[in-house]
Amino acid sequence: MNEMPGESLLRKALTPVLTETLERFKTLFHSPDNGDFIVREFETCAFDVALLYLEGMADTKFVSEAILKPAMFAGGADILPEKRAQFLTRHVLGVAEATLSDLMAELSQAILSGKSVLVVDGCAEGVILETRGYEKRNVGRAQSESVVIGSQQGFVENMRTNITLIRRMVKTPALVSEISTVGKKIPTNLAILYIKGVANARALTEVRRRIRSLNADYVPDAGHLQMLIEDDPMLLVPQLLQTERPDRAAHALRDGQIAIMIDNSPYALIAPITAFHLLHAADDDHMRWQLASFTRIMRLIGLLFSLFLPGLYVALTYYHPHIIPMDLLTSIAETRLLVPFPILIEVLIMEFSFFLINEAGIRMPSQIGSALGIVGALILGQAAVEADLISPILIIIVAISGLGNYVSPIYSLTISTEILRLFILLSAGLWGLYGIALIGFLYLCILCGARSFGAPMMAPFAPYRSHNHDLVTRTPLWTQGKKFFMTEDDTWLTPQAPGEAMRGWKGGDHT
Amino acid sequence: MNLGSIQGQREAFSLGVVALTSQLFHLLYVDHPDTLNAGWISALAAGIPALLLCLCLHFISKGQKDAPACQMKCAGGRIFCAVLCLASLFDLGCSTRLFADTAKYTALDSMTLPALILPLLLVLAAACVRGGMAISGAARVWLCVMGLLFLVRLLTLFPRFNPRWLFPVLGPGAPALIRPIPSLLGALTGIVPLWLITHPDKAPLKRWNLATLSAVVCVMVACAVALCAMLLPAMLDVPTQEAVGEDLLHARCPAHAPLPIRPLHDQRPRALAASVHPDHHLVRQHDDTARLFSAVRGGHAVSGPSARALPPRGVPVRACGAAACVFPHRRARDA
Repeated sequence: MNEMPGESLLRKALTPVLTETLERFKTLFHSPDNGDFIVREFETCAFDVALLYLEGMADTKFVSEAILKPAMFAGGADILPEKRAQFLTRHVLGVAEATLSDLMAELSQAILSGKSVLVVDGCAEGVILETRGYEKRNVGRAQSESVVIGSQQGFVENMRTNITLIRRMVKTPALVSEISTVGKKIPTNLAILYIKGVANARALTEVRRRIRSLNADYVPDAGHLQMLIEDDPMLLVPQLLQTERPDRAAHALRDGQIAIMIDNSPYALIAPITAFHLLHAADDDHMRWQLASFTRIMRLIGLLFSLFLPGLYVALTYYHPHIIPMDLLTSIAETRLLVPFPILIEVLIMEFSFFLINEAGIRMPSQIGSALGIVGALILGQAAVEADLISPILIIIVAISGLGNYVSPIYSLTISTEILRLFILLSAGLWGLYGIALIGFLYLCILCGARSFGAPMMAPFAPYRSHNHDLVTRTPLWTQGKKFFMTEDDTWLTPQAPGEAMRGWKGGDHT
Repeated sequence: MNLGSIQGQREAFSLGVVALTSQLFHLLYVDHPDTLNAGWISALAAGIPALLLCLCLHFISKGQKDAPACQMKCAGGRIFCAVLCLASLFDLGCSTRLFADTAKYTALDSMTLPALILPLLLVLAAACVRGGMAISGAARVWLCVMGLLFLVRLLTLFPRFNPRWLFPVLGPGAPALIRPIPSLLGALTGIVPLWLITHPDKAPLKRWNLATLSAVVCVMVACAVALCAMLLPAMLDVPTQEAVGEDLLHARCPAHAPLPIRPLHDQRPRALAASVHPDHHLVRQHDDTARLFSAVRGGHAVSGPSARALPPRGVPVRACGAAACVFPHRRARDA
């Protein structure tokens, strides 16, 4: 296998000779070709040192104030050469986080992540200094999971900021963030977040095992990571929940789930999940139970419409017209009188057009994206009807199924629903309702047999697990006294006062 | 199917209920139309020998608390279960043959038999590959969906239930009511393999729950048949019974393909009447089922440009209900 240039240097330890150390780092970072690799040599306490960092990744103002200035003004001292690095961290440098390391790999990784490294002549240890100060996006609104009620914060591309967002919501010392890297050649920072004593130990072990055993050279973001660690890559339904919302991640942690965060991704991956999590929107938790139940039922109906409506239309008009009331059948026949295509082809054309409009609407610049939607929906549809290419009823059906598709709060579920709809459509065209029943049954079985990090996707419904009534419909919060089935058996977060007792004021002294 | 992966009795319970209800209900409804509105008596009567069967299973498995019943050491029990397994195998063979004969007849008659059977077999094979949890999970979801649909149907039909039509309970005669019982018991053997290979749960249902499942289902089926019977009066004469029975012999596929083919069934009375009447196209034009039924019951003509009178008496309404639930499509297309 070919090695990265200078990769052999990464396996070496630091030398006490400063010039040799600097030469190694310059070779590794291709200096002077590499213009943003800064080597600042100076003298402190009567010995030579050099500060290494990447311009733009480290905060140069902070470097000057907290490292260079105190070091240059420090007086001379008689210190053993091997103790010089330790002395500097204790008595000279004004940096909050400073650690010692003698490994080239660790030191160079620190530089790449925006930290500064101070190497000292005569000492075989370098000092890693927390000086990160690169540009990053401010915390803003969640774009793909917008809500009406609830927190408006969304994750950003910086993992540390994201962890902070979660820590602000889950204020317990039991919240653990295990930080490591993933990627053999180009490492990316990754964090596994869970609440100790609540997260299921087996699921946690499995998450760790899968991540540690990855042999990929480079895992740039959450999408790649998801594809590498999910249970069944052939399954259309996502087996990890990709959420942009810190509040949703926090709720998942409370339920014993595990959040995986990776640098460069404004998402957290939640595992394990069930199919019901894919139906839940973030603002369900903020709404009263009646409202949340109603919206969830509507969402489910929308999803079913989206999946089955075009297929049912094809099956009924092709094979089972006797099921359609005569008036409606006549109406459909009249609208299709001049349409030259078979119904299946007609539906496929419309579906394809819908996908096109949808995809173009996403990719287009925002200034013209909304206009395109109107053009696509109104002008194109109207023209197609007038040209007798498409029957008007089909436009209604495709529009309803399209709307139903977008009630899904998870974008990846939306896409998988579209793909599945095509399968159902083709099956309906071939075998009518029989075909729909076959593919529906098959997909139901696949879904029931699927697992997400060991948890059955259709649990707690099938197979049955003890659960609160919060799957499709919700009951009032104070009736939800059971722990989530994914949590550890002896979790400390079990509701201590389920039922009416949860509302202590109900039985209290009102005077 | 990797049935060994059915780890819990709850999973086996769902699968068992779906398998049994579909079989029993259709056995009564389709294969024995001559039981008329007293089919529920047959179902209840079948519950008594079923209970004996369950008791046998219960006693055999008494010592099997930590392992599936198939690992029992008692020789007598093993022989007994082997006999039951043979019976269920026979039932499976019958089902497969009948399905092959009738799928084409009931679903899409323009297609060749392989074109209908192969996708089904492939789908079933694919589902089985996913393991016992997949099948039993699907059964559980299906139970809930069917339960909900049943409830909705019950509410919409509520004003039409007439308990008077359940009497006289022995109207068709005792032999007609006794005849379905062996078939019903045969259908019960379908759950034996499930019962044999199901592992006990960590927090188990009691073992006897699964074993007495068949008896419970008999009661459920009896209730369901009684409800259906309350919708229609019995108007079948004996020669017509036999003719319809012969006809239905070729249309038993729903009894043996419970999950996938269920949605094909359109049990609406409109299709019900359409399936037996020679002028289907005339009958089919009516959406007003109440009007249609009053016409059928009265033996009068159904409206239409060239309407002819329905047979004035002996319209096999009860039996044709069964027929309609099986092949509405075929009948409609014939028209």
